[in-house]
Amino acid sequence: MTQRTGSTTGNVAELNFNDVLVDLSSYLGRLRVNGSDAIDLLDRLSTNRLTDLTAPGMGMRSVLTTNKGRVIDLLGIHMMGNGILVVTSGAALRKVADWIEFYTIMEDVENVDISGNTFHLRLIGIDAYKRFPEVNNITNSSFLEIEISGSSCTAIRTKVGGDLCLDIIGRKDDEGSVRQILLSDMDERSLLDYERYRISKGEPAFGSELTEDFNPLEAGLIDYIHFNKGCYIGQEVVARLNTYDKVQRKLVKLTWQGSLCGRNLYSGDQSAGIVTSMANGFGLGFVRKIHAEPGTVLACGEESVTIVELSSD
Amino acid sequence: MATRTTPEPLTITISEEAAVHVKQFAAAEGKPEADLRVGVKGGGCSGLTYVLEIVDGGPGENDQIVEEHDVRLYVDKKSYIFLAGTVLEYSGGLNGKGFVFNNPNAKTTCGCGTSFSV
Repeated sequence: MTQRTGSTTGNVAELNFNDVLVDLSSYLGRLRVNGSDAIDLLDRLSTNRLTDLTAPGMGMRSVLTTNKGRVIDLLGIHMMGNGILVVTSGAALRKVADWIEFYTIMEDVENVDISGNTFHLRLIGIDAYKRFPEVNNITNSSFLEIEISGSSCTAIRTKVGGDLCLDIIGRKDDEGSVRQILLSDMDERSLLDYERYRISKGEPAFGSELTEDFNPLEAGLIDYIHFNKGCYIGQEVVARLNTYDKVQRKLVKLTWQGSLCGRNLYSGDQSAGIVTSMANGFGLGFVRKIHAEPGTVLACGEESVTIVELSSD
Repeated sequence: MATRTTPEPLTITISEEAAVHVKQFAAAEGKPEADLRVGVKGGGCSGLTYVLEIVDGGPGENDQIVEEHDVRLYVDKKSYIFLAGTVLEYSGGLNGKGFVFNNPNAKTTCGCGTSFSV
């Protein structure tokens, strides 16, 4: 498991993440999944009821899970006119593509990696959002085709923590002109800044919180699980964890004063959890449910680590 | 001198009782001459789900054909990888479950028995 580390200077409050642009072209991956059985197969492989996506423009997030109910990746599934756009974590792209390929047996399904041919910009904050008022009328993960500087782009409504965001995806060849228009009156932030931002928002990331060490309920992804949809890979385990209240750990936001050496959290001499993402003085981690209360102080080496809030709150 | 025997290639077989029920289902669907497609698709709690389908269009281009007890089974090549060695049986009686796949490749099965992992 990777332990992510953000910038080592500044703090969350100093970062203004309203009306900013971040280039997520490499941070996220994009697959085009084609074929008459595509949505049915993806529905059988992931946690949300994708068969509700019946028309172009609709979208939802869904968790790809192993047969042990552990997280492979959190996907964005978007119904295009001529196929499905699947947005993955960048580092998980190959794993997701291979997973879909492995389970394509009798189905009419083909997946194509379009990451290299496309760009993916995220506009963060309500002011950025106001530039495209037409997107106000659609639900999260749904999208519209819009034109920016004469280039046709896909604009997906999304959220990071509670912040409204707009993801702009378009052809790589059009990236320069689209960026020029957008950056004429908004600032660009680096991926390092974005990493600190997403940690501050309690947003789980692949390789840190989204790994096969954790299940989607622990990772705060319950909104992307449909409990009545029927079978998908890992469904039996996820349903049992939820029905019998067997979730052992919770994703929480953490703060500390100094710098952490190590990542194991303790309550007295008992193991209490693990830090999975770190920035300067704050981070994310999974703690045992009995400790998952705001204000609880745990130990990480010599440092005191305080639970600020549950990530899914 | 010891004799060495070549092992039989793994195939898919159907029990006599299962074959009888296939013919009954085919007749009930108004297709008494129809055949049975056996396959696997991705999904289900454990990863892979069995597929049984009465078909009357003949085999596909990539199908393996197994004929036993007057029933023809069509198995596409990719499904065959997961089903080689399987015996398709029929479990009747009070606790019966209908068609049962005795699949030596299945490491785990889910509660309902229709999903498995390899």
